Parts: sequence; structure tokens; C-alpha cells
Amino acid sequence: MFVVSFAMPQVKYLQYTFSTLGFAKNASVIKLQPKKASVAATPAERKLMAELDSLKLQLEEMRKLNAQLMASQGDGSMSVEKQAELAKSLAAKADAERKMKAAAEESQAKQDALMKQQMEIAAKIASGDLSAEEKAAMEQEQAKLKEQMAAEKATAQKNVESLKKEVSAIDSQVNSEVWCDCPSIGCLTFSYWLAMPCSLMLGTLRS
Amino acid sequence: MSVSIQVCIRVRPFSVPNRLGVLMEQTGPSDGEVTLLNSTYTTTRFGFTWSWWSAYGWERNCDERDHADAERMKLVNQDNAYGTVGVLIKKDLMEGNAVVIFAYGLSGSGKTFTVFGPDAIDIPEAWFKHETPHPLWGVFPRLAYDVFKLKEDTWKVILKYFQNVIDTVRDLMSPSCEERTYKEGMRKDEDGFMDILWCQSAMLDDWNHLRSTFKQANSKKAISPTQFNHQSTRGHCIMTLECNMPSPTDPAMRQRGRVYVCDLAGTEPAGDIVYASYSKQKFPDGTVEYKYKGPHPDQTKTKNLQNQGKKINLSLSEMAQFFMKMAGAIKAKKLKPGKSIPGCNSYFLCKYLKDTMLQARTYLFCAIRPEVCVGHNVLCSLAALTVHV
Repeated sequence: MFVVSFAMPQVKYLQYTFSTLGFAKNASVIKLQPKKASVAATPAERKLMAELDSLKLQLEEMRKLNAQLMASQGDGSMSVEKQAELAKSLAAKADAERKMKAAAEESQAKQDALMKQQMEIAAKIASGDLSAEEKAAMEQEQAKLKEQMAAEKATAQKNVESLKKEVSAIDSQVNSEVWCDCPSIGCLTFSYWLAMPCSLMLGTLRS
Repeated sequence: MSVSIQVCIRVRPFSVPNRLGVLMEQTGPSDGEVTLLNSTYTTTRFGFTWSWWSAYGWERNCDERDHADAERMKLVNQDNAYGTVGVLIKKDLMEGNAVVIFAYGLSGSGKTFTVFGPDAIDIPEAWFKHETPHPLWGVFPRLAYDVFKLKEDTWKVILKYFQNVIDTVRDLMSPSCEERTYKEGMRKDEDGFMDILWCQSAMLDDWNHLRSTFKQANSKKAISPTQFNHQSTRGHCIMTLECNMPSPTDPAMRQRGRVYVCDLAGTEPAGDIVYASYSKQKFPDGTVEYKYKGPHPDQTKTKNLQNQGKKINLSLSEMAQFFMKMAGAIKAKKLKPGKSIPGCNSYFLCKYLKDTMLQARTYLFCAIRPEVCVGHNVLCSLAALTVHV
């Protein structure tokens, strides 16, 4: 029986260190072109975000008013005429808000369609299957769509602004009617009903 | 605007008594220098963005002749590491960028420790077992902890985690630890970043949800003890964390900042690798060292590791080739920023990473060992062979 022992060469860590440093040296020369990834918010997400924002604003306003009311005094009564006036104002407000919502939805649908077209064109350009002429034409088309989108956004913004003004005018009227006669309880109740949908919507967004 | 890959070189503690092989100096906020000591190479100085000396306890094993050099270097701990690089990564991520963190180096050189921290399921210091910041946490836990502190109700944080073992991809998020060939379902998403479609993802509610999800996933990771590392990761692990949040500039859009943590398997002398046995040793200063006892008696375990090692080395060689060719083309001004070269996609690693990292903000952590060499005492005992005639 023979016993043969093989002595391994030493493991030269420095060889590995040198090769690792070489690897790193090459890496440090490489130039990158970072780009950001983004995705269009879905119509549902956008709608919820808009509603959430407006509710947050309203909640904030209510909190402020509530604080003011808590500081002041009210006798807790409201005349029948005042109540009728208030109901009328609230109905007008609801109507204006309905119009605003419908206008926003209509504009959103148009914007979504334009966005979809843009994404399709972008995908075609990115595929690299197009000739130079086709690519140029696509890019021209893309620019046109972007312009249309900007115009649509501007129009929608204008419409929403004018309707917001209308709502805001009614709001101030309602406020003057309510806060002259109504106690702080109404305000607190309203705050509660605003806070509830906020939390419900956040749950929907997360899912 | 083009940027370069930010490179950080980090040295782990000594594992055996030896001469010091490297001198690590940081001369400015982004001027690091590595100098090879006790070597015969003609090129001995290398400049990088960061150069970190983390050889804690060097006094125990560093040859006395090199003590003066070792004393000159400032020790960098996990906290300092995050304070330097982590905050930059966090900023990139919060601005909606894709960030690739990518750890490369010899087996057992501290790649996993740098990007994650201790991550073995059976040790109390594992990062995911701590709810609040721990001194040993690596870059990713600190980053994720900060992200969840900033998280708002409208954000979605999504985790994906998988490992490439030889020619397969193992979905660490899947309850059944599903494995498929690496080519299956590997596609670019609409933003041009590579994805593996069939791998599962989880939407995370908070930091604790991340910890528990990661802990579960990590227990499925292929890890084995080798003579170089008591917890050698036996395949490239890729974890992505996406932060999907409303764009601050356009309410109609959501930005998808994401971080790819690529903890690569280490390079190793595959033919000589053994499935090893270790003993754990604790020191009065609180440091822990794992002492190599010898090879495991079951030879089939060693054989499996050697097969894995060969594939790992081939894929890492391809990555090294890719970097070398890219660097050559860039130096020759034949390649524009962000553009890639053809080829170099025979193995999972390059196929998955090369395009993604070129369009992301990429941070490369290279882990190295402080020793010059390891003597016969560590390896020779493995090679005794009895021949009956």
C-alpha cells in the first residue's frame, strides 16, 4: 500500500484581490444612462387621489372652522326660513359638484385615450423594428399627441376652475348661513363624515 | 445626463494570521485608493469612489511587520458605510430612480455582510430578527427601514426575491420554493428593466412585514459552509424592492423607484472547494469568529458544491468579460453612455443584469480579503489520497 499525498499550491488571496480590483476598475469606467420608471396612474387611482385630496382639504378647512366655533358661542337654534335657504344652497352646491365631476371624468377619458395612443407609439419606437423614416413619423405623431394632451389638460383645468369658483361661492354662502346660527356639533359631525371616506379610500388605494 | 458606476472596495477581517495585502485610504469624500502591499504586481495603486478598511480585530492576526500600515487606516463599520453610500441610494430611490446595488468578490469576503448584514436564519444577530436598527445591519435593512419610516398611505412597496442556482432560478418568495430554468419568463418590462415574470412578489405594509417576509424567503436560500465561508451563498441572489408612489410633479403619473440588491455568489477555486465543518468562537470584545475544522465526511456534499462553484465562476467570468469589453469600447470612444455591447448573455447573471444596470444608478461593492495568502495548513489536509495497489 502506498500513501500518496498531494500538496496543494497556496491559495494566493492577493491574486483574487488583484483580479477583483481589475474587475472594479473596468466597472468604474462604464458610463450609465439612468432613466426613471414611471407608470400612468389608473383612472380609478387618479379619481381616488383627487377625491382624497379634496376631502383632505375640506377636512382641514372644517377643522379650522371647528376651532373657530369652539372659541365662539352659538345658541344652537336655526329658523325654518334659514333652514330652507340652506337646503336650497346645498342643492345648488351638489348640482355644481355633479357638473364638475362629470366634466372631469369626460376630460379624463379623453386624456386616457391620448395616453394610450402615446404609449403604443412609444412601444413601437422602443421596439427598434422601425426604419428611420417610420421612426421620425412616429415621433412627429407622438409630439402631436402630447400637444393635444396639454391642450385637453388646459381646457379641463379651466372648466374645473370655473366650477370650483361656483362651488366656493355657494360654500361661503352656506358657511355664513350655518355659522351664524348653528352650533359646533354640526361641524364636528361633518368632519366625521369626511374622515370616514378618507380612511376607506386609502384602503382601496393600497389594494 | 450620464453617470458612472460608483465603486466601493471593502476589506473584511483577517481569518488567518498573515501579512497584510492591502492598504485602504480615503483621501476625499469620493476619492478612495487601494494599494497592494507585499505583492509582486507592477500595478499596485487603484483609485475608486470609496475604499473601506473593515478588518476589525486585525491586531490578532496581522503580521507585526505590517502593524504600522494597519494602524494608519480608519476602520469603517456598517453605520459609516450606510452614512456614506446608503443616503445617496435612498435619495436616488425616493426620486424614482432604479438603483442597482451589486456585491462582487471572492467567496467569504463579506459581500452579503455589506449589503444585508448577518442573514443566517439560525443566528440571533440576523438582521431581520431586529425590529430597530442594529449595529450589524447592512445597507439594505437600513435603507428599507428608512423607506418605511417615510412611507405614506398612498405608496405601494413591493418585494421580489429569487436566487440563481446553476441553470435554474429559485423563487424564494414562493411557498413551494418553485424552481424553473433561468431563461423562462425573463423579459424586459415596459421601462426596459429585466424581470422574471413568474416569480412572485409581495406588497408590504410596513417594516415588520418586510422582516417577516424576508425571513421566510431567506430560509429558502441555498447556503452551504465551505472552507472559505461558513455561510457561502451558492448562487446569485437578486432582491428587488419597488416603491410605487404618486409622482410629485404630475398627479396623473406614479413613479416607480426601485432598488435591485444583487448579492452575487463569490468567486472560488471551484475544484478545491469542500463542504466544511466550523466551530464558533466568541471573543471578549464581542466579536465572533468561525474556525474551520475540516471537510465534512459526506463527499457527495462536496461534489455538489464543486458543480455549483464551476457554474458560479463561469457566470462571473462572463460578467468580468462584459465589463472588460465595455470599458475597452468606452475608452476607445466607441460606445455611448447607457449603450451595451452584443453578446455576453450565455449565463443568467449577465443576461439579467447587463441592460438593467446600464439604465440604473449602479453601486458596486467589491469585497476583498486583507491577507496576502493562505498557507498549506488550511487546504493541504483536504488532499490526502490513499491508493491501494
